[in-house]
Amino acid sequence: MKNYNNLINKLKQKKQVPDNLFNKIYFSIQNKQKSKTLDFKKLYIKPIHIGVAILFIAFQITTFMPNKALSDNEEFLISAYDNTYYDRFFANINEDFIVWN
Amino acid sequence: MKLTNNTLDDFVKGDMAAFKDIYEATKDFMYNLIYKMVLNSQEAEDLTHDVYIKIYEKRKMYNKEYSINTWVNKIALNHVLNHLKRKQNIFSKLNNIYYHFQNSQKETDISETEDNVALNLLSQIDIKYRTPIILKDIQEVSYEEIAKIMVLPIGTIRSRLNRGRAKLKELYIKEVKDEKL
Repeated sequence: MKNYNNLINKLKQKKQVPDNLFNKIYFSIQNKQKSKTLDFKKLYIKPIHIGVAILFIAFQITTFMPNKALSDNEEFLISAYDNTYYDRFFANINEDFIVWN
Repeated sequence: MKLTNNTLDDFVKGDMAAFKDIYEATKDFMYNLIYKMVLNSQEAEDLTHDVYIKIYEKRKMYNKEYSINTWVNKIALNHVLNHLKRKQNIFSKLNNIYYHFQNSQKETDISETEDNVALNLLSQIDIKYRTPIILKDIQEVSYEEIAKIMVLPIGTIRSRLNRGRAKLKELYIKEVKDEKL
């Protein structure tokens, strides 16, 4: 037991903490914090640019997005309407043409 | 150095002066704990550095119901154990390739002086049994606090401590006999 206590007493000898350790810790924390926060002033592309780009793309998609596929019945109705419209349009021209002549 | 409640509040808010007070109050204990775990002064310095950064980053998780020393030592111990586990894994992978190289290189910075024979003996004990010896016999922490730091029942800590002490005594007797021969 005495031997063990001697051994433990030798192990109890304290080692000195390096002097500049806190400075190293301090600078590491500062550097970590700097790298975490984004400096918007230095950014070439700013958040407003990204926002405008997203709005523009959304506008493009909603404007030029094709409509849903039409059923045969709908296609027929539209084509029938178009035909009558064009017929009348040309009929009017002809009438005008005839009157003018 | 006694830490007040105001210091702890300021530390949680991120105040550097309060953090320095905590550092000053805990550095000796922590550095020596880490040194005795890894037995290499450069490694101990690096690990202490990393542990304090971790403590600052995790400051919001500190619960004031517990002692700051217990919390700080718990983080330190877990960090060191993870480090040793990682190191052991790396060495076990490289073991086949660099077996002879590894044997020729000393991992610890313990020289062969008489005082350091004790550290050398300590390094031969498994980390599982070495930790309670370091905390109880060398750093003189109470059983209750060791239980909180290691998150183990007191009974387990007592049994590990006894096994560790027996192993250390055995190694010491062997060392003395070898010296006499």
